[in-house]
Amino acid sequence: MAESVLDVRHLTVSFSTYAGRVQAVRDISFSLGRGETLALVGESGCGKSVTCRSIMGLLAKNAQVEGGEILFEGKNLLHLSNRAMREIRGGKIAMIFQDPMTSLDPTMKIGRQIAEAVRLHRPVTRAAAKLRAVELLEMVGIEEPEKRYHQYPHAFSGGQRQRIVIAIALAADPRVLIADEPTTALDVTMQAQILDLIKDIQKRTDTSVIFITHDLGVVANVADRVAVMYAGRIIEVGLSDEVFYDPRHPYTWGLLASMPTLAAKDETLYAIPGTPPTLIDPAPGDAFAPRNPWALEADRLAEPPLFPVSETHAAATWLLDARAPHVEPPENIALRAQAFRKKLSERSAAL
Amino acid sequence: MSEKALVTVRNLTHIYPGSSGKRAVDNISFSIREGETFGLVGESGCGKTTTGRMLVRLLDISSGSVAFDGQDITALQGKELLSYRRQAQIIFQDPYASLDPRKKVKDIIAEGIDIHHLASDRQERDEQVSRLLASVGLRPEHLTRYPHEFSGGQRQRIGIARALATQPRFVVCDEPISALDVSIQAQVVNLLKAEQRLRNLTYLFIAHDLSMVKYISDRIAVMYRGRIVETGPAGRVYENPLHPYTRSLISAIPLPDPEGERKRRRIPYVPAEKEEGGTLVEAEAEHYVWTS
Ligand SMILES: Nc1ncnc2c1ncn2[C@@H]1O[C@H](COP(=O)(O)OP(=O)(O)OP(=O)(O)O)[C@@H](O)[C@H]1O
Ligand SMILES: Nc1ncnc2c1ncn2[C@@H]1O[C@H](COP(=O)(O)OP(=O)(O)OP(=O)(O)O)[C@@H](O)[C@H]1O
Ligand SMILES: [Mg+2]
Ligand SMILES: [Mg+2]
Repeated sequence: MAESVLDVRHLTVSFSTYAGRVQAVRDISFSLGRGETLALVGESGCGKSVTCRSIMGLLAKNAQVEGGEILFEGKNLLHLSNRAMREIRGGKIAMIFQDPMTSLDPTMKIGRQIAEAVRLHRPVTRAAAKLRAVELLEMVGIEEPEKRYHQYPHAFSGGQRQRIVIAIALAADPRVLIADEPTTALDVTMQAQILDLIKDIQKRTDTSVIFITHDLGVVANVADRVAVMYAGRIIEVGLSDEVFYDPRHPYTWGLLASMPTLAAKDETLYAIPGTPPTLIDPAPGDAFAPRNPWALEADRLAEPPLFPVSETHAAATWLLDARAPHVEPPENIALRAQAFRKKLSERSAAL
Repeated sequence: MSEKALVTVRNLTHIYPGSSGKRAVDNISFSIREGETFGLVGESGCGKTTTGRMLVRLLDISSGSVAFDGQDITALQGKELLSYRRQAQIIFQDPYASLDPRKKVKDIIAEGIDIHHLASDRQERDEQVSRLLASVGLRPEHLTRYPHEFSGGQRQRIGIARALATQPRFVVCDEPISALDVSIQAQVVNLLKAEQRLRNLTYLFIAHDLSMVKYISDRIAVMYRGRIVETGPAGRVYENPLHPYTRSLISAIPLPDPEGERKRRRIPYVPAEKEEGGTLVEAEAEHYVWTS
């Protein structure tokens, strides 16, 4: 992998609530290479946004970082002063938030909001910042950008707001871009345009991207590597090809199986049975065990470590332990794996 | 599903004040049958939310009309409007902006129950709320939390529970699942379908995830810049897309296949200069396309 730009090590975050301590992120580690796109995927509530907000130093008041470190340019971001963090935020590390309305100021014209983001980290004149803002609006597909520059956020549709937030994040040419569900409110053609835009900027400036999305199609399109999260942990991580074509964790199998295909119109979609676990006093063992048709006795007793599958691929399931019985993945997954192995052998034959 | 139209929309138009006469929704007509799911897809900013909000009377109708179960609701006021609102609910696109931050989740879900007096006492109210919460896959410990203490997808499900609380007949679902991961999407879609079967619910389902829209909808309308450019049975629109914008949309659906995504070619759509004065023309049974 390319030299790493950002290292998250053993990050653990909890929230205190009326009902108890919510263990939202439990011992997460990953690194992000220069120019690389890492996708974070996983069920709603599994801790994707909290992980990213920790990097940005923007956790809610009731949050507590219980351990770990986040290394960026030789510094642990968790130890920086508020002031130093403000410098980095929106500059070297920019984030596109999941909720566009909370990151837009409803009382300020959107053009000014973008222009201010341009000026925040670069000494340019007002006029130049305005030009750049209009250009950014155009890049994210807002029609009549000069005219819309002067409108307030409420006058934009859901997807248009999302694109304005993207323009603000891109305004500073960040080193690391964290994109939390940046295209969920967009139709597929607009989404494609935005993904191309992000890839383009990435190629030009070697930006590293953390991309959160639940759309596995989008992941397949943008990601170099994929980390799958469940109940606050990373349970599988690997190159995009490895996770899509040779997934090892039963949760990843379930995720891939719940995508509707254009061909199918069955009565009910496959949904992973059961509900996400409570994060307050989680039971011992593998958090996914109660919903896992392949669960072993060991899963109920102890949390599985990440077992390496290849140099770049690992999964946290006892199925990968040498003592575990051999389990066949479901048919659709087995077919994917077959196709992938065939491709690999063709590739090595060609070498 | 019956043949009877529950919602009939005629020449519906909306012009936002201060937008110098631009029609955000431009003279659209369609009807939704009782018990049917009618999918509305289209480009970001094409007028889907505006349409949905007019149908539940959260937004004024600039011109045209909407009839619900034979009754013209275009200009309802007061008591009658309130009674219509109980029957016609909306799941909002933006789960953040639509939940009152000062209220606990149980009180948010109970908003409709309270307004329309649907529970005879406290206990019945609590029971209804707990059932709704469980049906959208949330946990009992979530009842006493505030909206900001939830993830994006969890908030979206609170909005769904709130909309179902008044036992409506018609629900506008404005992107109800786009903030959800696939597995919970499947749960929510299955939930919406089960509720539909149980209560003969009618949905206007707004989304941009075409594979999901196709999956859930009986019929679909594709919007582009305020107009419906194609409408027909869900399967036909996908198998035989007639309008170039629809073709472009279908060609852009990302698939969970990295190899395929690397090779993907999309069909761009370049709109014709002026498409004034066109109409929807029936190209095959029940399948219409905009023709100028
Ligand atoms: N301020 C808070 N107080 C209490 N719990 C919280 C708070 N913020 C988040 N949580 C909980 O932490 C968990 C992780 O939340 P997070 O927002 O990271 O989820 P996510 O993976 O981004 O989900 P989604 O895909 O729905 O956005 C969730 O279970 C959520 O309920
Ligand atoms: N309050 C407003 N004032 C002026 N223009 C508005 C207002 N709300 C929306 N618009 C404009 O009306 C058009 C239609 O908006 P609408 O919200 O209906 O789009 P949409 O199809 O729901 O898009 P999306 O998929 O992005 O949510 C857009 O061009 C939008 O900018
Ligand atoms: Mg999130
Ligand atoms: Mg909308």
